Amino acid sequence: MNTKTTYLKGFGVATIIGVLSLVSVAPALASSVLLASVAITASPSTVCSGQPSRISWSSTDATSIWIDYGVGSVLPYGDVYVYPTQTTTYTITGTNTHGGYAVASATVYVNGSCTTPTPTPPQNAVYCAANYGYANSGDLVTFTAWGGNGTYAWTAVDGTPIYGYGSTFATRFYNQSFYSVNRTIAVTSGYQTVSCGVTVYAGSTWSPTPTPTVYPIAQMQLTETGRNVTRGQSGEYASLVARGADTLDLIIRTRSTTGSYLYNVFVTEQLPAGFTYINGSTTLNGYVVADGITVTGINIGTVSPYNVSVIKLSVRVDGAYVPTWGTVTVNAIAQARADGINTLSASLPITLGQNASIATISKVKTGPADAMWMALMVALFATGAYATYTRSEIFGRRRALAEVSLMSRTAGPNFLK
Amino acid sequence: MRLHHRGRTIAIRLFVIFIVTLGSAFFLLNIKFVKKSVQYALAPSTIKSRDTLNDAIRLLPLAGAIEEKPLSNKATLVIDKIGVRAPLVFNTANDEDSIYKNLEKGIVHYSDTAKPGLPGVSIVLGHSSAYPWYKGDYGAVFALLSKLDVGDRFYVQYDDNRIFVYEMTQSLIFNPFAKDDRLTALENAPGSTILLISCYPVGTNYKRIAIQAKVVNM
Repeated sequence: MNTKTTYLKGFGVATIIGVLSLVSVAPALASSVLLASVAITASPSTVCSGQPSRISWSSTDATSIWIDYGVGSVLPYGDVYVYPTQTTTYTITGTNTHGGYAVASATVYVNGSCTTPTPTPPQNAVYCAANYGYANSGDLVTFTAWGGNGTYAWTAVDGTPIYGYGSTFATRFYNQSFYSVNRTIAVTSGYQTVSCGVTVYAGSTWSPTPTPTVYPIAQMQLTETGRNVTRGQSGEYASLVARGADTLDLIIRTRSTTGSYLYNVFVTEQLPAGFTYINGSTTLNGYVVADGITVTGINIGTVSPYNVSVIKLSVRVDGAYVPTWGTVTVNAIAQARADGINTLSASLPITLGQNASIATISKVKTGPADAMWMALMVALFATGAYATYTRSEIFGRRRALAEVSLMSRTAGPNFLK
Repeated sequence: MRLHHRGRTIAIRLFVIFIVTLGSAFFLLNIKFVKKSVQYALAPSTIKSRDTLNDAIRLLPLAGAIEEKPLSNKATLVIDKIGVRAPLVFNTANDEDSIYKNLEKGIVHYSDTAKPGLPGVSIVLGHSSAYPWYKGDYGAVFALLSKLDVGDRFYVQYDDNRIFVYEMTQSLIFNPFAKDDRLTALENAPGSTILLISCYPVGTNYKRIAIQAKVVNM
């Protein structure tokens, strides 16, 4: 490993800092300056164009650390792969709030283009970071890795070998000495290994750190209901029936379903064709707010955990869009999004139709169509049949016999004499 | 003299035959209605005033103001006073043939109108009477509509146990083939109302009877 460290003022590690200030400021101020130191190395120091070189750095008592050429602000300890296409000198600058600063640099020499293909497959750079740059002894520190090939193996903490897998790794560092110590953990993804670290304060100064509040992942629920005001409806319904000129209330509820806040909640309402927004009708939790929900949408701000924000707006149905026969169902669609949350949609089905025509419906015959006629026909048939019978020979003969029988009973046994 | 007497006797006989046959035929053709009417006439007053609505309400929740889900297509119309307990047939085509076919399955909801319980006017049709050979079980389901009085209550119960209670507000007898301005008021009634429509008088289809009722549990 070729290490090229540039010393601002040198003893292997650039250690100064504030020296100039010491020179230029008053002694009373100079006495408050806290020295800082930084170190940086590149390995390998010579690469082919575009090939990786690992830049590693460390620092002491620097609260703000910066590496140029796109690396940016970094933690007190760590490393990163760079892929220079020309000879580049990476400079690390460390400063602290007490006026100290330190500068160091490492140069990566680019030896033209390699004639042989690189043996390592292309892979995204892997990074890691701790959730805290500094920790008290015993604090739980969580490391997070990203990039690389998506698989991570955590190995070897300074002095204490520990192992783990996954994109995050949590452990506690203990320091019972009187001095701050640096602890570094390495993560390997594919063929790349990077390390990240944390400064652990001296145990003598250890004090319990309040457990940080862990907020659950924010989740949002969106619902849309409504009521037909013209029809005298006062509740809220998941679907509506409307006719021309009806006025409808649409109610949109945005709810935080977890213990997290919803920030920058933005709500829009898409009205179906033939629906007209009534100006000045939008309210948020009962208070009138500006129009625009049906055009550009409105920002209702923050929704507290487990709370709900209620938007109400009124619309009117244009009779020209109501079918003259039958019904058609359209949807009013509400959409909402918030910081870190994708757009959600909720719809309210609205069935449009004309007033029912009782006269039309009543054409349906729900009674026997011709029972009276049928009964009449049966009666006429029976009567006619009997009348025909009275004119027949059979009827006459039976009638004659009946009369003879009657006369015989009247005149007695000598009737025929 | 005898001949004259004989002719009068025959005429009387013909008249009696005509009347008896006419009455019998009409009676038999409307036997479903006759059966219902006899049952209603003979039923003790305790049965006529039976109120399963109260029992239902004790066991089931009334439909609340906030409906989280749409009303289903399975519901029953219950009119205790006249012994009606029949399924409502939804989503029917509105041509007459389809309605006649669906009347065999129960009481037909006219699908261009609001569902019972929703805002608007809901119209349902039921048979007042049908021939003895009518296939369905609901040939005289609305035979006794005219027995209902203003203030009588009945209810529609959906299969998810949501109940909408109605209170009769008026009845109307009208000619379906003539313009009647009274129908306009029924068609534009505010709130949630239901119209029970059937033929009138029973056994004919000359006129219609409409029973209007409004939802009282909203």
